[in-house]
Amino acid sequence: TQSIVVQVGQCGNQIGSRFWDLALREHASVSRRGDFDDSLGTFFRQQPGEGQALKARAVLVDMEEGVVGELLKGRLRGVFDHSALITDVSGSGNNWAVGHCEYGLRHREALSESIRRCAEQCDCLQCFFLLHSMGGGTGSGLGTAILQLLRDQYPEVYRFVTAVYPSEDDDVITSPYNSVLAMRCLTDYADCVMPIDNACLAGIAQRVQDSGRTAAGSSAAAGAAAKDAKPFDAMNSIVANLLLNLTASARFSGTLNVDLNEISMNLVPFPRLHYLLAAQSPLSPALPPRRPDQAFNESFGKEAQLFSAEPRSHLYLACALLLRGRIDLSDVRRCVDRLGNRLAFADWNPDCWKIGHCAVPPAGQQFALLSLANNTAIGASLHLLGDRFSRLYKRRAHLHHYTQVDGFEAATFDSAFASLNDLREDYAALERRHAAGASAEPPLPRLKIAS
Amino acid sequence: MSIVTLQLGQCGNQVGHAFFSSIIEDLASGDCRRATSGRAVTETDDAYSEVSRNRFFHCTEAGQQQAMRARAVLCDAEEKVVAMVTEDAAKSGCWAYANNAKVCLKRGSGNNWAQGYRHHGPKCWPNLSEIVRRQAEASDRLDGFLALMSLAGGTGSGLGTFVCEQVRDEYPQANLISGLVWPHSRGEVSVQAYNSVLTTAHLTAACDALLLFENDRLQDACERRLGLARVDVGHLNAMIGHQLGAILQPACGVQSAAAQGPALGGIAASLCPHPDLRLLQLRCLPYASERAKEFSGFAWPGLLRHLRQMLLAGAAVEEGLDWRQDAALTAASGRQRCFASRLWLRGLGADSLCPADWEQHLLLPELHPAWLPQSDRLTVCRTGRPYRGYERACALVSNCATGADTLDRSIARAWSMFAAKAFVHQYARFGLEEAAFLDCFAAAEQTVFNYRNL
Repeated sequence: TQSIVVQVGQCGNQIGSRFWDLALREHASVSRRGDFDDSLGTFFRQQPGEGQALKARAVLVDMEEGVVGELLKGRLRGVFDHSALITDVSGSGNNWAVGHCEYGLRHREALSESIRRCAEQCDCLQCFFLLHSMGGGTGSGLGTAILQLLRDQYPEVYRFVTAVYPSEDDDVITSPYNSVLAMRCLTDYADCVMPIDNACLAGIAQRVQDSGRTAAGSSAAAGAAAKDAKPFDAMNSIVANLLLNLTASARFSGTLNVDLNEISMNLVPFPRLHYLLAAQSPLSPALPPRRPDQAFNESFGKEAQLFSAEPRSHLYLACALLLRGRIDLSDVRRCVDRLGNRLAFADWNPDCWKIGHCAVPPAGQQFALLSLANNTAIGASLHLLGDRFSRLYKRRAHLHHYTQVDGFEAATFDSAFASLNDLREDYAALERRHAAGASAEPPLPRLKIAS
Repeated sequence: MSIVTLQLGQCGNQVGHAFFSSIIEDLASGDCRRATSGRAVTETDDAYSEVSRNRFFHCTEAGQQQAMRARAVLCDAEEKVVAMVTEDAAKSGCWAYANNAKVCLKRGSGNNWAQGYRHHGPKCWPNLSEIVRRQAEASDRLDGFLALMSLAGGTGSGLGTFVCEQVRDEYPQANLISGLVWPHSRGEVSVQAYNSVLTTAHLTAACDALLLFENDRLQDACERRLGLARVDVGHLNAMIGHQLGAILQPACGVQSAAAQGPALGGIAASLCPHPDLRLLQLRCLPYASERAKEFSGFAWPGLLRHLRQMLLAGAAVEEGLDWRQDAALTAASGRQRCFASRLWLRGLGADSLCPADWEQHLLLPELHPAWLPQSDRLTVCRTGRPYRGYERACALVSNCATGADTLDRSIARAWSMFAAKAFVHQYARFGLEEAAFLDCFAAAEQTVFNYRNL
């Protein structure tokens, strides 16, 4: 099966460029001869003709030329198809309405064409990965317009979104507006969303750098990357590694394969509650290896989370553990048992785990663990986002930038905010029900057989 | 009489491969024995080998070599595992899967029973039915089908259920027994309870018997018997393969090949004559690692005593048994009601045992329902030919209430999820509505009820 990556906006394209770089390195380290096989085929295709160059299954979208332009001048320029680039010149001015309504309409045909061409080159397309930020205009606005297009034109194909949320101290004033407006589209049109927080990424990158200085050596991959590293490369690499770990089992073989449609099936009990908190251990492939117990503890701790949330103190609806490399089934069982006793799971399924194992570890490591949790902790973060939105909206600050865009209606703000509140309420209701426990309404009695 | 194995889904294919490997090893161990034994032994062994080979393999002469092609059909929703299993078989050198015996789709079932049952099943079936027909026609006489699948995922359980129902329709005279692998109770897959209940509800109607293999019990058994701290999926599969071989290999002493009755048919007839009671538990002794095998010289009374205690205590392993649990106590607690059992004795001196030897241990009037005639409560198959190098080995398949306990736990979990409407939309996406869920819950509850009121 194949997947297509759609990277939108400045942030999306920066993460995307790290992703393609690391993906190529990973495949190179796994198959020395560089033969084109099914695992490579998940994200790459072979260009027919001389040389049979590798081409990424990617669509790059940006409304200003900076980031994409740099990509095309850099090392990876040969990997992208020129028909897969959708660009414009003036940017979105951090305005969701411009990205979604204006550019969404203007470039709809071109986008549709580009994606269709990519999809036709796939034997069996399983999943779209959408990369964008929430706080700006292009990633947030145009990104969600593309999401809607994908839902309309390819309803059977899964849509995984990696969305970078603005932190509390984001320098874009209108980022709460953009985030809430985009959020509604994510709730309605995406199959799974992995929210990421810049503050968390920075924290993790700092920790990696600090321990990197004290550690004796680093892997070849890290060394090579450090040579021409740009700022934010470390942070973006973390997200790129997340995607690689997520798709490892779909690409390589193992005893317990986890395909991408299984992620959605196992982690999304209610259709709108599809926000998954991600954490990885080791934090970066450059760090020294961990023992399984350490890795499990780390990935459930606060510091490895990629989003500002504390899952341990909230309710788990479902949790997936995607393991890579050498680890024994007994170790996994033991760790899961131990964790299961310490974490709070919803009472309708205290054992809501999904465990996957891929035999191929990340480059330079023996073992890695990715945990994806559907946890009510995100309700708290939504609360904060809602507050920041309200503070601006109450004063009607900056609204005219949005309402003066053709095709944008003022009522969209209200419905988006309502959607956010509904989502918060859903999560809160689950927590309340759990807290009430046995004293809540009695469970539906099982069917009785008449004797 | 031949048995065609249907390997369905990732686990089904891995277990099927382990099963055929066990058979091959058993045949190889027989070759060793023959080299060092007298003529009488050789005759028995020759008969055994011939029956076994024809039962599970299609043997053709290809030049100098005798090529053995497994009577198996491989099906999965994606290609990786089937390719791996076929390659492993070919690597062994002495056997392989038939070239055109596999059906793969491109895209997995996403652990979704409904996707496997309503989408992938009908899609695979036209090709699959051709292959099944070819395998069935390649045998002189068809005993039946052994379907292997796991209950946690979507392909084995969903597509597997569909295939079993179709096979039952197309071959109403053939026996159909499915080997179901129950997942660890502490989660391998979030929705495993749903998948387990949906499958069991359908298969109790479609199959003659359901052999239950529980990962928890298998893991426990492997850890204790093999002395391993670290047990992986390969060990579990190897144990299942061993146990299946112990009950499906020929076992009728010196009778000629033609007189060997159907293995699957024998199990179905003796253990599951009643349509309401189809859940079977399998216990097999001894089981040891390769190095310890030479030292596992047990005597029949010891083995039978352990089997009996395992049955009474509802245990999977013979270590750490509660020996205080006796027949009267078990009957009083109502926990281990047993409808019928079938015993296999393989090894030195099995032929010379007399009925009293095993009846004193395993014929337990307190456990069986009063209305079942004495002669139907325990049937025995035996052969003097040892199994896989174990000097003496025995296996007991019982139609007892232990299986109902496992099913009960799954129903409880699935029901609490259903009441909270968790994951239901994922199944509705492929056309499985709440009414269908309720039907399956009702059927599963009925099965548990039947066993509780034995």
